Amino acid sequence: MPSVGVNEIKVDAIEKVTGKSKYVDDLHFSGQLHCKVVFSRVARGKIESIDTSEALRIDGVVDVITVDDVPGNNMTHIIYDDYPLFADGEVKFAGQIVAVVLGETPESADMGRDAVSITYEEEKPVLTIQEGIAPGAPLIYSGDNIFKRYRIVKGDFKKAFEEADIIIENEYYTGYQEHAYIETQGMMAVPGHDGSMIVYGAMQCPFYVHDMVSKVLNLPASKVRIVQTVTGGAFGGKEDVPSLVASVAAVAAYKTGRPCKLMLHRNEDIISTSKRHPAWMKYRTAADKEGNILGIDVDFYMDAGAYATLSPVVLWRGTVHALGPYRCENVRVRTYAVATNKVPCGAFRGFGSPQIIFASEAQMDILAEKVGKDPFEIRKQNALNLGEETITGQKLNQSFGLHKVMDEAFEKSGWAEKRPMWGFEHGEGDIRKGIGVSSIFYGVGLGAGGKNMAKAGAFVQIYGDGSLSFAVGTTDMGQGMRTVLSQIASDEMGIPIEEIYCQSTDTSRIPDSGPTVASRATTMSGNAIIDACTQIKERMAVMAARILEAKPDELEFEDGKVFVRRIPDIFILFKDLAKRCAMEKVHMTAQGWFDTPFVSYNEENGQGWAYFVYAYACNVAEITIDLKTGEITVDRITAAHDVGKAINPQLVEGQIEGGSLQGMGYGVMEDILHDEKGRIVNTGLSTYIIPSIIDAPEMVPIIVEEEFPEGPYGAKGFGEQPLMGVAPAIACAVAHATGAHPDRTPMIPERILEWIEKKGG
Amino acid sequence: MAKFTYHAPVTMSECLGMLRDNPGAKLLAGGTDLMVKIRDKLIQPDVVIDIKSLDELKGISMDDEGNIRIGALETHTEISESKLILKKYPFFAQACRWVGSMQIRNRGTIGGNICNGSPAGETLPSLYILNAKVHLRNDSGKRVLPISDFYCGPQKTCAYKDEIVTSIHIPAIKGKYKGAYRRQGRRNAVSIAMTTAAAMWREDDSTPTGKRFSIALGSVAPTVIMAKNAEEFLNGAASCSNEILEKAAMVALEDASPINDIRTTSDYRNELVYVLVKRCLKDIICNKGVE
Ligand SMILES: Cc1cc2nc3c(=O)[nH]c(=O)nc-3n(C[C@H](O)[C@H](O)[C@H](O)COP(=O)(O)OP(=O)(O)OC[C@H]3O[C@@H](n4cnc5c(N)ncnc54)[C@H](O)[C@@H]3O)c2cc1C
Repeated sequence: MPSVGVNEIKVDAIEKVTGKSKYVDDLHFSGQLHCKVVFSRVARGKIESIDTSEALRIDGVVDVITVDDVPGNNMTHIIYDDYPLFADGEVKFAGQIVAVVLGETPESADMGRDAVSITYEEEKPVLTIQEGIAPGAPLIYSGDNIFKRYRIVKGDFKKAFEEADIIIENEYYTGYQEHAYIETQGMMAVPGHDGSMIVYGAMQCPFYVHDMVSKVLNLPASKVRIVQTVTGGAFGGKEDVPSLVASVAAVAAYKTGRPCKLMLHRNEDIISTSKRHPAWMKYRTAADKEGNILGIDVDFYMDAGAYATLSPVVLWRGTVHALGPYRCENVRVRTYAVATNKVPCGAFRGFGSPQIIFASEAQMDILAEKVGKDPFEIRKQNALNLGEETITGQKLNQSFGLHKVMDEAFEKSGWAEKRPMWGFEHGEGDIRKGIGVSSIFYGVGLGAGGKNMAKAGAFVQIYGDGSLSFAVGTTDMGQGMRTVLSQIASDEMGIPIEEIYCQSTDTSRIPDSGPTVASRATTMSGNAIIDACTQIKERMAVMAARILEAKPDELEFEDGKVFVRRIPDIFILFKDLAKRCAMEKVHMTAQGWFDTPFVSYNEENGQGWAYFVYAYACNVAEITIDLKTGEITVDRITAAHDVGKAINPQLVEGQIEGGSLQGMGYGVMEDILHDEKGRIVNTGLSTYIIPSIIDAPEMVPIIVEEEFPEGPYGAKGFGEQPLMGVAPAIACAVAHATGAHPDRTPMIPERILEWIEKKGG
Repeated sequence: MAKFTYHAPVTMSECLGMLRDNPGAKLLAGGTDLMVKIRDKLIQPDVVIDIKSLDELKGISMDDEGNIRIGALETHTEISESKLILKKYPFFAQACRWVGSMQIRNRGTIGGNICNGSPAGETLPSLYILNAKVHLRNDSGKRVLPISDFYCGPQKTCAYKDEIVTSIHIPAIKGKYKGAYRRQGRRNAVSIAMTTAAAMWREDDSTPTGKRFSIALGSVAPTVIMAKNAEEFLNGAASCSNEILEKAAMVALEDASPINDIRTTSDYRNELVYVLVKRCLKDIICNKGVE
């Protein structure tokens, strides 16, 4: 009975719904202290003084920690070395960590925090991309406030624009998005009696945390151990930030010698942790009169915030995805990550691509209108074919489901019937219905931008009773990795999933496996598990061959048995074999390893094999719009996704539904607002509005499986794609329903009314 | 969260005594406003008096004349599911259904909604057009205030520090009437309204149309307000044609004085006033009244 491809119940579902799972805030160590961070209220300025005397007089306050208490490097390394863990003489955004109050109780720490008094010499903050790149702008980073720039140059874009029948030129803005994971960031640092340090907490990337904690504490990496606790959602928000949270707790634990817990409240989490980058895009498209794209010329600016964090790699992904899955020979793309005095932006499901996709897909809609074609047709016509090249010059030569996802979405959404019947011209009164489409591709894994981290280990152990436990270096943050990898291990050894246990991710158990991002856990750790299982099977097969009087390479591991191929009657139960192997000292543990296939990238011209494989998706959104209030209701989303292989179809559908809803929130309601001093004003979930379950549209998830030969069982990674194309599909539907093309997210009612008015409708 | 002393009186006189003796006390009903404010350090009461066990603050009933009494502790769920309210004032039941989410509606009370006094308070516009009366009590006696006199400023009631709201009364309406409530938020649950509007007519021989109109607006002024100009315009109008209703909605803009805040802009609120009033009026004109 294979497990791969089956809707196994999530291995941790029951403990979660019955409330038994232990999140970091559920951990308690005797003698623990509680940390409360003092955040900067000022977006830019010099710190004149930090007065902790009042706080230290409060009953229960044990200590106040500042930059002076950091034993190792206060300047942290993420990609650059520019982000001080504790503000050191100056602050660059409101929400930056200045000090930490340690209390015997959360209440005393809280009172202590309010009693710390900091004075600043305030300076005028830089709050927008335009202010950041303006000549003479105050310098936040280096000589020009640009953390990183990329470009793609291919063909002759100038000539394409000269020869074009149609030129479409527009500017687009996309807003912030907050991860709004259910569990806010939190860490528990526990000092060892022997100078070691263990940190438990919510995270995606234990090895990032490991690296930063050891540098901040000035400890050899060998004396640091990081353990991921059950993590309540992440979406990219727990990629780089947990390293900072952990390091703060670790400094506190190091200084006091006591376990220290740091939990961020929602409002603290919102003001101080990463978000999706707002973006400003100038997009020019050249086309012939049939609507074939001849050239693009794109300037893409991301608002990176005060420190570089992950912006360089986020920008890179955005750069590579600047056109989407379409054919174009003549390309100029120039991209910039710009420093501003706001919270550093970082990883978020899609990683720099949703912004540029919003612009490129909107250009498609306008192009369709200009040549009098249906938006679906114009996309089909320009869609890459097998063997054709992306704008980075990469030939798409395998696992290519683009046309299939488009065709499926077209069929299942009822596009052909709905599109002509709906729209601004068809309807009475104030209500209109619209239907829109987007098609996207997504480079799976870290790609050439992060190829040094693109590795993964696994540790697999078979016990004498025939059960199996494994550990990997990637993490489950709710997406279901533990389940999917258990299914893979189950099929590799041919034993039921109930016999399998996935250990918590712990850096003392597994070699550095890179981060759990970029939809890479299934492919990378899955392959590493297969590698480990294969090694163990080889050793066990020798024993089985002896017992069954067969050759080791004739044996199959399946259905809890080991049998001779094509002669299933000659078998030994896996349990019995394991017992025998244990008695006869067969080595039944193994370290598995996987290194990614070839990738390359030339930074000069942006050409290269950017990712080892791409995933494809097509979204159709159906909406209702009230032309008088601008209110928009998303009624239905049809989402077709090529995932290579759905190891667990229900989990894939879960990703499609959750991701679509998050994409809808990004498209129509979510945004972070600042006051004139650069402080975030909507710091809670009552004012940072995400869709509720009642706002969820009907969803039609469609799974397409174009096998990826190098992935485990053909899988190529999934998780981010469901979000990426939803906002553009909604924008296309809005254009259909109102006749006006959105150029901004979120598409809130106020803006919809503005667009309708501008169009003169 | 700051510390406070918690009391849970079981009789009214006990409660009134506590209120008299603790001028800094705050009453706790469902706590869905109060606890949020304490946690956010917007208020720091030294004493909190939980009134959930006071049975005389419960119940929905109608007397022989058709006057309805709603106990201050009635939750939004109870009101929106009350057969009596659904029959007599379905738009008011609907308004209660808009509050927060199911959890909040099961917990939050009408007394709390009124006393919290937010200009976006979901129950208020309906209570305004129904001429509801707020019944108050303290250690030395009782008094009654019309809802429109109950507020002295934004989120500020005219209740004395030692007073408790015991019930809300909706006086009987003679003859036919019809009411409607509309609101707009940023999503369909757990969303504080950007603008609310309620409108109703009652049979009245003294106006040209035979109908007397009342209109209330929320979230467009420091407190919920009556759209006096729009009401006057309609009460003097010769007919209830579409043009008249649209004109009345325009006039309602003179009554509103919205501001920009974290939820939206004053411009958009004006847009909403116009659309919501127009639609409320159409709702009630296009439908027969009930008796
Ligand atoms: C997530 C969430 C969503 C919400 N959504 C909405 C919404 O959509 N629309 C809306 O209108 N409101 C909303 N609210 C606000 C709140 O739920 C309502 O105002 C509710 O009716 C308050 O009732 P309560 O019993 O919980 O009041 P409490 O919090 O117990 O009390 C509120 C205030 O009234 C005082 N008080 C309470 N009862 C009495 C009494 N009998 N006499 C004198 N004073 C009294 C208290 O001292 C306190 O100052 C929401 C709140 C939350 C937390």
